[in-house]
Amino acid sequence: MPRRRATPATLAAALLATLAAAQEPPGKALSPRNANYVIEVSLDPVAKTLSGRQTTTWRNLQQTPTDELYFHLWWNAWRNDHSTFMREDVMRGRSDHGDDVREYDWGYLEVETATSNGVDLMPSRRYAAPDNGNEEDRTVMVLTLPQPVAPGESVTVELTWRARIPRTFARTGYRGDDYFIAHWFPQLGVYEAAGWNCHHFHAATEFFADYGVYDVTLELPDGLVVGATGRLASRDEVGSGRVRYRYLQEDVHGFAWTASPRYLVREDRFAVEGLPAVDLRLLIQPEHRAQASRYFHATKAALEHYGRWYGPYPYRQLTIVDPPYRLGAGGMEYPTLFTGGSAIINPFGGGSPEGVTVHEAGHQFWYGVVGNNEIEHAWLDEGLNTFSTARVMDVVYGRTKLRRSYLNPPGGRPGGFVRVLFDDVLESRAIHGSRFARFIASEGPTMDPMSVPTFLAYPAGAGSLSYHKTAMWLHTLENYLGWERLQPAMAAFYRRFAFRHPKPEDFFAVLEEVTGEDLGWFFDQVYYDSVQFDYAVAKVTSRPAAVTGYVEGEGGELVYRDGKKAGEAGEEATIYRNEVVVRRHGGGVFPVELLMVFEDGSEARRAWDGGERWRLFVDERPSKLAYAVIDPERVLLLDLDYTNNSRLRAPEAAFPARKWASKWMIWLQDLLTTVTFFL
Amino acid sequence: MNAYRAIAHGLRRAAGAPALVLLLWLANLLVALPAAWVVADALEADVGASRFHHSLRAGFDTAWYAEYRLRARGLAATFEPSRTGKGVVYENLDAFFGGDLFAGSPAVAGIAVLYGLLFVFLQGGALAHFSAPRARFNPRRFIADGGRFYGRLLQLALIGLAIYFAIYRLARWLFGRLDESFRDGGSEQRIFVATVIGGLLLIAALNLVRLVFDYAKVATVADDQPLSVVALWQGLRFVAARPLRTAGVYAGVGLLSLLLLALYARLAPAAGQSTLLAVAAAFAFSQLFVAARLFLRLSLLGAELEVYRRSGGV
Ligand SMILES: [Zn+2]
Repeated sequence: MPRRRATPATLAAALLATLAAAQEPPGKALSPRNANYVIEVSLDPVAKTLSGRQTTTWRNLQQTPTDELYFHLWWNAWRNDHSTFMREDVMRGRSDHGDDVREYDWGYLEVETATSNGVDLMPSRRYAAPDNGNEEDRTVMVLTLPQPVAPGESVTVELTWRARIPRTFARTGYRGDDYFIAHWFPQLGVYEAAGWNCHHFHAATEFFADYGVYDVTLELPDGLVVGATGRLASRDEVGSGRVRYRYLQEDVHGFAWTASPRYLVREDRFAVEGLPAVDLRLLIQPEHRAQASRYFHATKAALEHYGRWYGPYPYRQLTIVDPPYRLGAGGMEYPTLFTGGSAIINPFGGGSPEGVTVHEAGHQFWYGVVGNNEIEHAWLDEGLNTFSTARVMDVVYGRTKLRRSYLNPPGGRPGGFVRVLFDDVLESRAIHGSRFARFIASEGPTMDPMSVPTFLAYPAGAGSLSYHKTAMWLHTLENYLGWERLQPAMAAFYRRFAFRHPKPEDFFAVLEEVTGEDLGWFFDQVYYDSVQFDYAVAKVTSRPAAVTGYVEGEGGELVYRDGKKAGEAGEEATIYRNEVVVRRHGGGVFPVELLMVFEDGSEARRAWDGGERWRLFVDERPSKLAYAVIDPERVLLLDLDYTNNSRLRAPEAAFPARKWASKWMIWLQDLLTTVTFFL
Repeated sequence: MNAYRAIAHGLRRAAGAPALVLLLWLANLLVALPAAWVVADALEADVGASRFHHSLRAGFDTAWYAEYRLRARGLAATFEPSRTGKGVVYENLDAFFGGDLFAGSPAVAGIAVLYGLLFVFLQGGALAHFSAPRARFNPRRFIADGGRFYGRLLQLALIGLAIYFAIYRLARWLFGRLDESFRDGGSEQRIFVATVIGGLLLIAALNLVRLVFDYAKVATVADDQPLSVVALWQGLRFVAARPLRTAGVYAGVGLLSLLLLALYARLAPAAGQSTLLAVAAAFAFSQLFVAARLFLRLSLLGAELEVYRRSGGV
């Protein structure tokens, strides 16, 4: 297979050229722009409702005509508890409200009129249940057109709708006069060769839509600070204390906005050599104002490193939102806008809010520019992005300190305001953000293979597959191939699938092509199967190599030899036969290396394809074995038990165990002393 | 007698009875030691022959811990890096504030009950010792006194526990209301301040009850009050009659305890000791902290007894 070698710099330059158009006014399209929206929406701050009027123009990119249009009505996930979302929320045992969903918490999106070229489409309206036959779900609406849309042709549909804003579900909603409004308008599904791809809103998955031009006018009460996808084109006071904001953005697949009287606005600019400049606008809570520079720093770190590794950020501006307290909107990505999240007392060094900022800024690349189907293959953005986040965090911030939140009253709420860092307990990139811990905690033999579409994976485990497992196997791949080989491959994937909808097979193909490596054996295991990896050193021994017992003497007679006495005469050192038994406990197979370290400081390394269930390695030399490690560089991060990967001939755990137990004991003693308060 | 003098007196009495401090510290140490042994064995078994011994010797290893926390069971599961070093202070203060002292571990709860029963005994002996001015410490009498007052002091402790429990339940409910009131509005700053104020009120309520019970214990021993209910009434009346003096003494020693905690949070040995000597030194330093806490505890008893004695009881 021909191998294309490209340096990050040349790739970045090539990509820069292709994407430089984004810096130009509309016209030079980066994306197909086949789903375009002109929306005028008005907020009623008392009734907590939105009224919308929207013109949607859709162009058929497929080779087959269709006379149907599928729309996501995402907010109907919270219309009642019979929706697919709410039912799955129960199943995954995690929800925004627990059992406490009140009347004013529910939200909905109700289309009131639909016309196309003056033809009323409402009589044709129906709701689809493509995934599970749940007829009561109202998150997918289908309109039938008077005539089919031929390949390459366009259709325009006028909708009016009314929405009730929920008390935040899935990071969208309101709290008092704080609003975070996402996935709020009737949005087209994606018409694919196989037909419309338009899933219900599922509890454990996110979104999928085509790229287009968004022209959105928000009519809001005065006194709110507003942030939105795109750039502000105009702001007009329209009387009776109302203001109209018009935002424009091309080549995005969604539009989110936020409004709150509480935001402070800070501005900065990302400008580094070789990457296009980006205007940064931060909407931050007054309580966190001292952390503004940290938000900017982390955002710039993401723009710079993702930009250099994968390709430049193609838009002119980026809005960072530090959401209002308990709005529930933190840590989420939208086109050219994302939310972070922090705490009132949050010292630097614990990876917050830097981690969430890098992650959500990183989604501008994986999700924003490369628009995979998050409902079917969430890992393509979440996994790649979790992997990349950890990498940026490591490069920019190094190891982060263990972070704990205190000031937790009886019952635990409200609490956790005070964050304390432990200087001497450092997280490494491999376990960044506890992803390794979460990965091994959830990686049971009953996990779905990752090839199961995300929305069909067991809801309680879907997240771990998309985020943690993917990050672990990508990091494993980086260790195995080297970053200098993986990085160009990921850059090629970014470049080729910018503003498109890649599938998992596309990612695998690009990786194999660009690295020139057959990786099928790897993807078969980590993606198409759910095998577990666990290599172990089962036994280490050192014995004199010389024979003990009866051997044939010079005359052929049997004579007794004592091997322990060989070499004692002083003319030569005792040779030891050092044996290491390694075992493969898991179903997964990965080539691993065995490191043997001897008492005289010498080392030996042996490669093993990792295939057999066990293997004996023998090394003879004039020194006893000190210890052996299978996979000493920890290439295979997917190994669920790394403790058993190394074995000393003479264990030395007694000292550290007593050291740490003695520290734990102080905790117990102090706890006992604290208990005496009550006696 | 002013509060300052009473505190000084209490400190002198505690300092004058090093055997008593030693006894209290030893009791604490000996109750904790078997538990630490169990945890040490669990840690040793888990690290086993692996190379992690190396990183754990020099510091902490979060990669090992990520695996350990899934394997650990029982008492060993309460081992967390945040419960070492300065974390001792943060974790236990937070646990005290939250009324959640046993780290969700039945084993820790069992150890705490055992120690509590022992402590009530030691406290009786200590109070009896302090109630005789200028008496020299006599182990035999200490044990006899501990036994003599045990039933009554235990009764008082149980009544106290019921009240503390009720206070925590009430606080839990109130914090729940507070949380609810911010469900649909209010800034982080406001809820933070409200939580701090709520926390201060909770701490004040707990300490007020504690103050009354302190003097109930003092009355039990100093007056040889046979009925704990009457002793409690005496304690209440005594504190009510001299709110400033009793609270002043209590707050003074409380402040010293807080200073001690703050000092330890700053100076607590971190993860770095890699030789037996260094570990032993860190352990000894930490034992000084535990002993100092118990010393202040004794000083408070001494000071409160002095206040009670000088005021002629009730
Ligand atoms: Zn993400």
